[in-house]
Amino acid sequence: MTNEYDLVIVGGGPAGLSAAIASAEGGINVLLLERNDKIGVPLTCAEGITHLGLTTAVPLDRSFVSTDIHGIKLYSPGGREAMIDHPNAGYVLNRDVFEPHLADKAREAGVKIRTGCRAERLHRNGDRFNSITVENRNGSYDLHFKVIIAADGVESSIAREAGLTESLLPSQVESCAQYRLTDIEVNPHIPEVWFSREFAPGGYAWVFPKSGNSANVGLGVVPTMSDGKCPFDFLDDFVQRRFPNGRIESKSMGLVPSFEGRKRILKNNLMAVGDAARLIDSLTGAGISTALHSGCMAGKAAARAIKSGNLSNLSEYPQEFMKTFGRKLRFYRLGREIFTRMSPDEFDFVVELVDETFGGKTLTALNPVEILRKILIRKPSLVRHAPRLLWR
Amino acid sequence: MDELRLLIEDVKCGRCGGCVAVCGPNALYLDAERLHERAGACTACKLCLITCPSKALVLKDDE
Repeated sequence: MTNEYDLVIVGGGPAGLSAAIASAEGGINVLLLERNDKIGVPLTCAEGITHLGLTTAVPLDRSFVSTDIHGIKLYSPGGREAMIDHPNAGYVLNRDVFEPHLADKAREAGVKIRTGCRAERLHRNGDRFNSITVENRNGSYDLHFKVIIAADGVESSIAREAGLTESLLPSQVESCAQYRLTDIEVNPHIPEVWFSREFAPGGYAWVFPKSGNSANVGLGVVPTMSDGKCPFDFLDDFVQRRFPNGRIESKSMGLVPSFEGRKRILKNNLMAVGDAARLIDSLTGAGISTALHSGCMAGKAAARAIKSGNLSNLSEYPQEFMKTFGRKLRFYRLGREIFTRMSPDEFDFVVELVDETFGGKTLTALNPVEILRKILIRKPSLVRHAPRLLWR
Repeated sequence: MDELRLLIEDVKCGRCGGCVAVCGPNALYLDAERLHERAGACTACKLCLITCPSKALVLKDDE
């Protein structure tokens, strides 16, 4: 077993797997390490992704799709409702099928995958990181590389050890709880979003259907706004109200950070992708698409840099990512600042406005940035919640 | 001897990594099976307790 690779990727989620496929297809030898024994578990998200977000990164395969999304329904604290009708908007995935599917593609491209391996310590030689100590059940060993990609999630120990990221503050995150509920009745193609300071302070509750009688039902709260209650306490209240007869099949949880800009993406010969780089839509918490795209861009940049023998070419990754996603993600982060401070009356207004704007129409495209812009034009007082917007 | 300051309730822990992400002194880590505490590293700041979605962590002093 060789312990020298062109590229080592730490983390086998969507970001790491996408980086693995792209880099191996670029002609370099790649090793991917996954902490868990199985790729695709445990589940830590609601599994929703837009059509474009998925299909521009991965060819659609029905085996990993639970259901198609044809719109979304919003609920305000005061009882207003808004329906956005948008055929082919996206999908609810089966992550436990999706990620093994990507792992198969990675293996076909020549990637070696080792599961049950934890990256324990990063070593450097001068400015460059050159090896990593890995632990598994049999002990520990060192791996050597030219480039390393941190794809080990929001808690990324690799990105932190490299000084690329720091620990998060509870006020900067959404702490999320989710049940897989069965024995319920839902529209299998319409996710629901419930805004309420009562059962999701600082966040929102969601229902992502898996079929007509099962769904991922969850919510995110800002821990510092939740008055000592944990997300599952809030979720139990929400489930009692929305699905009193639902049966809990499983539970999952996760943490959603806020986008922090390009400073978290590259340091010397270490790149961070997906949640490890906090590349996330801070407003909705959606992260699978940015994980797939950042992974793909980083993988391609790694292959090009290694093959050309010039690792300074790794800077193509942050340049390309920020050019494609930077403006949008910065705007969503400001949207989050507003969202977490909005009053129940303001939520009522926003849901009414969405209903007035989109109700009764069938959309072929939906640009959340445009929606946010429309809302701010109609209700400029919301800007007071995000003073940084005033500077721009 | 460095002591462990946290009680980690494995049954409640979903291994989401939230506590690891907010831990300033990097006192927590996950492996294939469970969440662990690095002996002597915890400063009892309680950020992990505040952030954990499922109350899986308890400070021994607060027990």
